Amino acid sequence: MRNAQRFEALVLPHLDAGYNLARWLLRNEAAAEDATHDASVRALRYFDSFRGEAARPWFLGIVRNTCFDYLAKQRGLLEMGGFDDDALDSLQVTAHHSYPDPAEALSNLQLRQQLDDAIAALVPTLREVIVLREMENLDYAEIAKITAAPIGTVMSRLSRARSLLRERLRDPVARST
Amino acid sequence: MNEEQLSTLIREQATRHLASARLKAQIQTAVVLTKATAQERARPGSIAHHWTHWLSRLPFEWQQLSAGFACGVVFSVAAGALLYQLHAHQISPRLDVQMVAAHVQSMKVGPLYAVASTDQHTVKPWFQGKLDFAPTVVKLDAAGFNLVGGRIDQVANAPVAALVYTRNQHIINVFTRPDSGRPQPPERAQVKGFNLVAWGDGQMHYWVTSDVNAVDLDAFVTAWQSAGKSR
Repeated sequence: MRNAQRFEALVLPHLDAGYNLARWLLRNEAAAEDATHDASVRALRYFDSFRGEAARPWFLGIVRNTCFDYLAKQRGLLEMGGFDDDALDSLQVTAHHSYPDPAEALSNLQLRQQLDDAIAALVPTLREVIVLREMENLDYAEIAKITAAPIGTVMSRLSRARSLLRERLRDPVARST
Repeated sequence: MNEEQLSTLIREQATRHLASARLKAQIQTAVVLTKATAQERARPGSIAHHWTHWLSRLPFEWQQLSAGFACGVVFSVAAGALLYQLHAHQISPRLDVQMVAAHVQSMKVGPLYAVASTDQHTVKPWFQGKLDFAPTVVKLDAAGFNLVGGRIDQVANAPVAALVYTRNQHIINVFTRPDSGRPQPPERAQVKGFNLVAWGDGQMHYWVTSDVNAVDLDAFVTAWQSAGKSR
Protein backbone atom coordinates (compact mmCIF):
# COMPACT_ATOMS: atom_id res chain seq x y z
CA MET A 1 0.00 0.00 0.00
CA ARG A 2 2.95 2.30 -0.60
CA ASN A 3 0.98 4.20 -3.21
CA ALA A 4 -2.05 4.53 -0.99
CA GLN A 5 -1.48 8.20 -0.21
CA ARG A 6 -1.48 8.98 -3.94
CA PHE A 7 -4.77 7.22 -4.47
CA GLU A 8 -6.85 9.91 -2.84
CA ALA A 9 -5.15 12.69 -4.77
CA LEU A 10 -5.21 10.91 -8.13
CA VAL A 11 -8.47 9.00 -8.22
CA LEU A 12 -10.98 10.66 -5.92
CA PRO A 13 -11.19 13.84 -8.06
CA HIS A 14 -12.76 11.69 -10.80
CA LEU A 15 -15.69 10.46 -8.71
CA ASP A 16 -18.09 12.79 -10.53
CA ALA A 17 -17.03 11.46 -13.93
CA GLY A 18 -17.24 7.89 -12.64
CA TYR A 19 -20.65 8.42 -11.12
CA ASN A 20 -21.96 10.09 -14.28
CA LEU A 21 -20.84 7.13 -16.38
CA ALA A 22 -22.35 4.65 -13.92
CA ARG A 23 -25.58 6.63 -13.70
CA TRP A 24 -25.95 6.66 -17.47
CA LEU A 25 -25.02 3.02 -17.91
CA LEU A 26 -27.22 1.67 -15.13
CA ARG A 27 -29.99 4.30 -15.45
CA ASN A 28 -30.68 4.07 -11.76
CA GLU A 29 -29.41 6.28 -8.97
CA ALA A 30 -28.99 3.67 -6.23
CA ALA A 31 -27.32 1.16 -8.55
CA ALA A 32 -24.98 3.87 -9.86
CA GLU A 33 -23.96 4.81 -6.30
CA ASP A 34 -23.28 1.16 -5.44
CA ALA A 35 -21.27 0.65 -8.63
CA THR A 36 -19.20 3.81 -8.05
CA HIS A 37 -18.52 2.68 -4.49
CA ASP A 38 -17.53 -0.85 -5.61
CA ALA A 39 -15.36 0.51 -8.41
CA SER A 40 -13.51 2.81 -5.99
CA VAL A 41 -12.75 -0.06 -3.63
CA ARG A 42 -11.63 -2.19 -6.60
CA ALA A 43 -9.48 0.67 -7.87
CA LEU A 44 -7.82 0.99 -4.48
CA ARG A 45 -7.12 -2.74 -4.46
CA TYR A 46 -5.63 -2.63 -7.97
CA PHE A 47 -3.78 0.62 -7.34
CA ASP A 48 -0.44 -1.17 -7.04
CA SER A 49 -0.82 -2.15 -10.70
CA PHE A 50 -1.41 1.47 -11.67
CA ARG A 51 1.64 2.55 -13.68
CA GLY A 52 1.22 6.29 -13.49
CA GLU A 53 -0.77 6.59 -16.71
CA ALA A 54 -3.66 9.06 -16.81
CA ALA A 55 -5.80 8.37 -13.75
CA ARG A 56 -9.12 9.38 -15.29
CA PRO A 57 -9.38 6.77 -18.08
CA TRP A 58 -7.88 4.16 -15.74
CA PHE A 59 -10.54 4.76 -13.09
CA LEU A 60 -13.37 5.12 -15.62
CA GLY A 61 -12.33 1.76 -17.10
CA ILE A 62 -12.85 0.16 -13.70
CA VAL A 63 -16.20 1.92 -13.24
CA ARG A 64 -17.23 0.80 -16.70
CA ASN A 65 -16.34 -2.84 -16.05
CA THR A 66 -18.13 -2.76 -12.71
CA CYS A 67 -21.25 -1.41 -14.42
CA PHE A 68 -21.15 -4.07 -17.11
CA ASP A 69 -20.85 -6.70 -14.38
CA TYR A 70 -23.99 -5.21 -12.82
CA LEU A 71 -25.78 -5.16 -16.17
CA ALA A 72 -24.79 -8.75 -16.86
CA LYS A 73 -26.18 -9.79 -13.49
CA GLN A 74 -29.35 -7.77 -13.99
CA ARG A 75 -30.19 -8.92 -17.46
CA GLY A 76 -28.40 -12.19 -17.86
CA LEU A 77 -26.29 -10.84 -20.70
CA LEU A 78 -29.36 -10.19 -22.81
CA GLU A 79 -28.77 -6.57 -23.52
CA MET A 80 -25.02 -6.52 -24.04
CA GLY A 81 -23.85 -10.07 -24.49
CA GLY A 82 -25.33 -10.69 -27.88
CA PHE A 83 -24.47 -7.24 -29.07
CA ASP A 84 -23.68 -6.90 -32.73
CA ASP A 85 -22.55 -3.58 -34.14
CA ASP A 86 -24.03 -4.29 -37.57
CA ALA A 87 -27.45 -5.22 -36.22
CA LEU A 88 -27.80 -1.65 -35.02
CA ASP A 89 -28.87 -0.33 -38.37
CA SER A 90 -32.14 -2.15 -37.95
CA LEU A 91 -32.80 -0.15 -34.78
CA GLN A 92 -32.80 3.15 -36.58
CA VAL A 93 -36.13 4.86 -36.86
CA THR A 94 -37.32 6.65 -39.92
CA ALA A 95 -38.38 10.24 -39.61
CA HIS A 96 -41.93 11.22 -40.44
CA HIS A 97 -41.67 14.91 -39.73
CA SER A 98 -38.70 17.07 -39.54
CA TYR A 99 -38.30 20.16 -37.40
CA PRO A 100 -35.78 22.60 -38.76
CA ASP A 101 -34.18 23.21 -35.41
CA PRO A 102 -35.35 21.45 -32.27
CA ALA A 103 -33.34 23.83 -30.11
CA GLU A 104 -35.62 26.65 -31.18
CA ALA A 105 -38.82 24.65 -31.30
CA LEU A 106 -38.74 23.53 -27.70
CA SER A 107 -38.10 25.01 -24.33
CA ASN A 108 -34.83 24.03 -22.72
CA LEU A 109 -36.50 21.80 -20.20
CA GLN A 110 -38.34 19.76 -22.79
CA LEU A 111 -35.22 19.59 -24.85
CA ARG A 112 -33.18 18.31 -21.95
CA GLN A 113 -35.78 15.67 -21.22
CA GLN A 114 -35.86 14.57 -24.85
CA LEU A 115 -32.12 14.51 -25.13
CA ASP A 116 -31.76 12.54 -21.91
CA ASP A 117 -34.42 10.09 -23.04
CA ALA A 118 -32.77 9.66 -26.41
CA ILE A 119 -29.38 8.95 -24.82
CA ALA A 120 -30.93 6.59 -22.27
CA ALA A 121 -32.63 4.68 -25.08
CA LEU A 122 -29.32 3.80 -26.74
CA VAL A 123 -27.84 0.37 -26.03
CA PRO A 124 -25.09 0.49 -23.35
CA THR A 125 -22.16 0.19 -25.76
CA LEU A 126 -23.40 3.22 -27.71
CA ARG A 127 -24.52 5.10 -24.62
CA GLU A 128 -21.09 4.87 -23.03
CA VAL A 129 -19.24 6.33 -26.03
CA ILE A 130 -21.62 9.31 -26.06
CA VAL A 131 -21.17 9.88 -22.33
CA LEU A 132 -17.40 9.53 -22.49
CA ARG A 133 -16.93 11.62 -25.62
CA GLU A 134 -19.55 14.35 -25.31
CA MET A 135 -19.92 14.72 -21.55
CA GLU A 136 -16.53 13.71 -20.22
CA ASN A 137 -14.57 15.03 -23.19
CA LEU A 138 -12.25 12.04 -23.54
CA ASP A 139 -10.40 11.38 -26.79
CA TYR A 140 -10.78 8.27 -28.97
CA ALA A 141 -7.68 6.57 -27.58
CA GLU A 142 -8.89 7.03 -24.00
CA ILE A 143 -12.36 5.74 -24.84
CA ALA A 144 -10.80 2.74 -26.59
CA LYS A 145 -8.82 1.98 -23.44
CA ILE A 146 -11.86 2.34 -21.16
CA THR A 147 -14.17 0.24 -23.28
CA ALA A 148 -11.48 -2.29 -24.27
CA ALA A 149 -12.35 -1.83 -27.94
CA PRO A 150 -10.17 -0.87 -30.95
CA ILE A 151 -10.17 2.82 -31.88
CA GLY A 152 -11.91 2.04 -35.17
CA THR A 153 -14.79 0.43 -33.30
CA VAL A 154 -15.03 3.42 -30.97
CA MET A 155 -15.28 5.75 -33.94
CA SER A 156 -17.93 3.69 -35.70
CA ARG A 157 -19.97 3.30 -32.51
CA LEU A 158 -19.76 7.02 -31.93
CA SER A 159 -21.00 7.80 -35.41
CA ARG A 160 -23.84 5.25 -35.09
CA ALA A 161 -24.80 6.69 -31.72
CA ARG A 162 -24.79 10.21 -33.12
CA SER A 163 -26.91 9.36 -36.10
CA LEU A 164 -29.40 7.51 -33.91
CA LEU A 165 -29.62 10.51 -31.59
CA ARG A 166 -30.11 12.84 -34.52
CA GLU A 167 -32.94 10.70 -35.81
CA ARG A 168 -34.65 10.59 -32.46
CA LEU A 169 -34.32 14.30 -31.82
CA ARG A 170 -35.55 15.17 -35.26
CA ASP A 171 -38.70 13.19 -34.65
CA PRO A 172 -39.49 13.21 -30.95
CA VAL A 173 -43.24 12.74 -31.37
CA ALA A 174 -42.89 9.53 -33.31
CA ARG A 175 -40.48 8.21 -30.66
CA SER A 176 -42.76 8.82 -27.71
CA THR A 177 -45.87 7.29 -29.28
CA MET B 1 -28.62 19.27 -37.15
CA ASN B 2 -25.02 18.34 -37.89
CA GLU B 3 -22.55 16.46 -35.66
CA GLU B 4 -21.11 19.60 -34.19
CA GLN B 5 -24.55 20.94 -33.25
CA LEU B 6 -25.39 17.62 -31.66
CA SER B 7 -22.17 17.67 -29.65
CA THR B 8 -22.89 21.19 -28.45
CA LEU B 9 -26.45 20.22 -27.62
CA ILE B 10 -25.37 17.25 -25.50
CA ARG B 11 -22.64 19.27 -23.83
CA GLU B 12 -24.99 22.10 -22.94
CA GLN B 13 -28.29 20.35 -22.39
CA ALA B 14 -27.89 16.69 -21.42
CA THR B 15 -27.85 15.95 -17.71
CA ARG B 16 -24.40 15.34 -16.27
CA HIS B 17 -25.08 13.50 -13.04
CA LEU B 18 -22.84 14.48 -10.16
CA ALA B 19 -21.91 12.23 -7.27
CA SER B 20 -23.64 13.37 -4.08
CA ALA B 21 -21.59 14.65 -1.16
CA ARG B 22 -22.85 11.66 0.80
CA LEU B 23 -21.53 9.18 -1.79
CA LYS B 24 -18.17 10.93 -1.93
CA ALA B 25 -17.94 10.81 1.84
CA GLN B 26 -18.85 7.12 1.93
CA ILE B 27 -16.16 6.33 -0.62
CA GLN B 28 -13.59 8.45 1.19
CA THR B 29 -14.45 6.61 4.41
CA ALA B 30 -14.11 3.23 2.68
CA VAL B 31 -10.72 4.27 1.29
CA VAL B 32 -9.47 5.47 4.68
CA LEU B 33 -10.60 2.27 6.41
CA THR B 34 -9.16 -0.01 3.71
CA LYS B 35 -5.85 1.78 3.99
CA ALA B 36 -5.86 1.58 7.77
CA THR B 37 -6.49 -2.19 7.82
CA ALA B 38 -3.98 -2.80 5.02
CA GLN B 39 -1.30 -0.91 6.96
CA GLU B 40 -1.94 -3.01 10.04
CA ARG B 41 -1.62 -6.21 8.04
CA ALA B 42 1.53 -5.06 6.29
CA ARG B 43 3.29 -4.09 9.52
CA PRO B 44 5.20 -7.36 10.35
CA GLY B 45 7.69 -5.93 7.90
CA SER B 46 8.76 -7.39 4.66
CA ILE B 47 11.45 -4.70 4.46
CA ALA B 48 13.18 -6.04 7.56
CA HIS B 49 13.05 -9.50 6.07
CA HIS B 50 14.72 -8.34 2.87
CA TRP B 51 17.49 -6.61 4.83
CA THR B 52 18.42 -9.59 6.97
CA HIS B 53 18.37 -11.79 3.92
CA TRP B 54 20.67 -9.40 2.09
CA LEU B 55 23.02 -9.09 5.08
CA SER B 56 23.33 -12.86 5.53
CA ARG B 57 24.75 -13.12 2.02
CA LEU B 58 27.66 -10.74 2.79
CA PRO B 59 31.17 -12.01 3.77
CA PHE B 60 31.73 -12.35 7.55
CA GLU B 61 34.00 -9.27 7.94
CA TRP B 62 31.41 -7.18 6.14
CA GLN B 63 28.71 -8.52 8.43
CA GLN B 64 30.75 -7.40 11.45
CA LEU B 65 31.33 -4.04 9.88
CA SER B 66 27.66 -3.60 9.14
CA ALA B 67 26.78 -4.70 12.67
CA GLY B 68 29.03 -1.93 13.99
CA PHE B 69 27.48 0.51 11.60
CA ALA B 70 24.00 -0.59 12.63
CA CYS B 71 24.86 0.01 16.31
CA GLY B 72 25.96 3.52 15.39
CA VAL B 73 22.72 4.12 13.53
CA VAL B 74 20.62 2.81 16.41
CA PHE B 75 22.48 5.06 18.85
CA SER B 76 22.03 8.19 16.76
CA VAL B 77 18.36 7.44 16.12
CA ALA B 78 17.82 6.94 19.86
CA ALA B 79 19.61 10.19 20.62
CA GLY B 80 17.60 11.98 17.96
CA ALA B 81 14.34 10.57 19.29
CA LEU B 82 15.25 11.68 22.81
CA LEU B 83 16.04 15.19 21.62
CA TYR B 84 12.83 15.27 19.64
CA GLN B 85 10.85 14.15 22.69
CA LEU B 86 12.43 16.86 24.80
CA HIS B 87 11.88 19.45 22.14
CA ALA B 88 8.32 18.57 21.11
CA HIS B 89 7.12 17.52 24.51
CA GLN B 90 3.60 18.86 24.43
CA ILE B 91 1.63 18.71 21.22
CA SER B 92 3.52 17.77 18.12
CA PRO B 93 3.42 20.81 15.83
CA ARG B 94 3.34 18.47 12.88
CA LEU B 95 0.08 17.01 14.08
CA ASP B 96 -1.38 20.51 14.50
CA VAL B 97 -0.55 21.31 10.92
CA GLN B 98 -2.03 18.03 9.74
CA MET B 99 -5.28 18.63 11.63
CA VAL B 100 -5.61 22.07 10.08
CA ALA B 101 -4.82 20.57 6.66
CA ALA B 102 -7.60 18.01 7.20
CA HIS B 103 -9.94 20.87 8.15
CA VAL B 104 -9.05 22.79 4.98
CA GLN B 105 -9.34 19.65 2.86
CA SER B 106 -12.82 18.92 4.22
CA MET B 107 -14.03 22.33 3.08
CA LYS B 108 -12.09 22.64 -0.16
CA VAL B 109 -12.39 19.16 -1.61
CA GLY B 110 -14.96 17.66 0.68
CA PRO B 111 -16.65 15.62 1.79
CA LEU B 112 -17.55 17.63 4.85
CA TYR B 113 -19.60 14.86 6.35
CA ALA B 114 -20.66 11.29 5.59
CA VAL B 115 -23.52 11.32 8.04
CA ALA B 116 -25.59 14.50 8.01
CA SER B 117 -27.63 15.05 11.11
CA THR B 118 -28.17 17.60 13.84
CA ASP B 119 -28.98 14.78 16.25
CA GLN B 120 -26.13 13.31 18.27
CA HIS B 121 -28.07 10.05 18.58
CA THR B 122 -27.86 9.64 14.81
CA VAL B 123 -24.27 10.78 14.39
CA LYS B 124 -22.71 8.74 17.20
CA PRO B 125 -24.10 5.32 16.13
CA TRP B 126 -22.90 5.99 12.58
CA PHE B 127 -19.32 5.46 13.78
CA GLN B 128 -20.19 2.00 15.13
CA GLY B 129 -18.29 -0.73 13.36
CA LYS B 130 -16.22 1.82 11.44
CA LEU B 131 -13.78 2.78 14.19
CA ASP B 132 -12.31 0.85 17.10
CA PHE B 133 -13.30 3.64 19.48
CA ALA B 134 -16.52 5.50 20.24
CA PRO B 135 -16.04 9.24 19.76
CA THR B 136 -17.85 11.74 21.97
CA VAL B 137 -20.72 13.47 20.17
CA VAL B 138 -22.51 16.27 21.98
CA LYS B 139 -25.19 18.77 21.08
CA LEU B 140 -24.07 22.35 21.66
CA ASP B 141 -26.99 24.35 20.27
CA ALA B 142 -27.46 26.12 23.59
CA ALA B 143 -23.96 27.55 23.27
CA GLY B 144 -24.58 28.60 19.67
CA PHE B 145 -22.75 25.78 17.92
CA ASN B 146 -24.84 23.54 15.67
CA LEU B 147 -23.93 19.97 14.95
CA VAL B 148 -24.27 19.21 11.23
CA GLY B 149 -22.61 15.84 10.77
CA GLY B 150 -19.60 13.58 11.03
CA ARG B 151 -17.15 11.62 8.93
CA ILE B 152 -13.93 9.64 9.20
CA ASP B 153 -10.64 11.17 8.12
CA GLN B 154 -7.13 9.86 8.03
CA VAL B 155 -4.59 12.00 9.87
CA ALA B 156 -1.02 10.91 10.57
CA ASN B 157 -1.76 7.41 9.26
CA ALA B 158 -4.57 6.74 11.70
CA PRO B 159 -8.31 7.04 11.32
CA VAL B 160 -9.84 9.90 13.27
CA ALA B 161 -13.47 10.73 13.94
CA ALA B 162 -14.35 14.16 12.59
CA LEU B 163 -17.42 16.05 13.76
CA VAL B 164 -18.65 19.16 12.03
CA TYR B 165 -20.30 22.07 13.81
CA THR B 166 -21.25 25.47 12.46
CA ARG B 167 -21.26 28.87 14.09
CA ASN B 168 -22.95 31.46 11.87
CA GLN B 169 -21.19 30.87 8.55
CA HIS B 170 -18.09 29.30 10.08
CA ILE B 171 -17.29 25.62 9.99
CA ILE B 172 -15.71 23.92 12.97
CA ASN B 173 -14.07 20.50 12.72
CA VAL B 174 -13.55 18.41 15.85
CA PHE B 175 -11.09 15.54 15.44
CA THR B 176 -11.04 12.75 17.99
CA ARG B 177 -8.50 9.99 18.44
CA PRO B 178 -8.00 7.59 21.35
CA ASP B 179 -5.19 8.55 23.70
CA SER B 180 -3.82 6.59 26.62
CA GLY B 181 -1.78 9.46 28.05
CA ARG B 182 -2.44 11.79 30.94
CA PRO B 183 -5.15 14.42 30.67
CA GLN B 184 -3.86 17.56 29.01
CA PRO B 185 -5.30 21.02 29.47
CA PRO B 186 -6.36 22.87 26.31
CA GLU B 187 -3.50 24.31 24.32
CA ARG B 188 -4.05 26.99 21.72
CA ALA B 189 -2.26 27.31 18.43
CA GLN B 190 -2.58 29.25 15.20
CA VAL B 191 -1.77 27.67 11.86
CA LYS B 192 -2.03 29.75 8.70
CA GLY B 193 -4.69 31.94 10.28
CA PHE B 194 -6.78 29.03 11.55
CA ASN B 195 -7.30 28.69 15.26
CA LEU B 196 -6.73 25.34 16.86
CA VAL B 197 -7.24 24.06 20.37
CA ALA B 198 -5.99 20.62 21.41
CA TRP B 199 -6.58 18.82 24.67
CA GLY B 200 -6.87 15.35 26.10
CA ASP B 201 -9.08 13.88 28.80
CA GLY B 202 -6.84 10.84 29.34
CA GLN B 203 -8.96 8.62 27.13
CA MET B 204 -9.36 10.71 24.01
CA HIS B 205 -7.38 13.47 22.42
CA TYR B 206 -9.31 16.27 20.73
CA TRP B 207 -8.37 18.86 18.16
CA VAL B 208 -10.80 21.64 17.35
CA THR B 209 -10.00 23.84 14.41
CA SER B 210 -11.81 26.60 12.60
CA ASP B 211 -11.52 30.07 11.21
CA VAL B 212 -13.72 31.46 13.99
CA ASN B 213 -11.92 33.81 16.35
CA ALA B 214 -9.99 32.45 19.31
CA VAL B 215 -12.59 33.65 21.85
CA ASP B 216 -15.41 31.76 20.11
CA LEU B 217 -13.28 28.67 19.78
CA ASP B 218 -12.50 28.81 23.51
CA ALA B 219 -16.24 29.08 24.14
CA PHE B 220 -16.70 25.98 22.02
CA VAL B 221 -14.11 24.04 24.00
CA THR B 222 -15.67 25.10 27.31
CA ALA B 223 -19.13 24.11 26.09
CA TRP B 224 -17.81 20.80 24.80
CA GLN B 225 -16.04 19.98 28.05
CA SER B 226 -19.02 20.78 30.26
CA ALA B 227 -21.36 18.86 27.95
CA GLY B 228 -18.94 15.95 28.04
CA LYS B 229 -18.89 15.96 31.84
CA SER B 230 -22.65 16.07 32.25
CA ARG B 231 -23.12 13.22 29.80
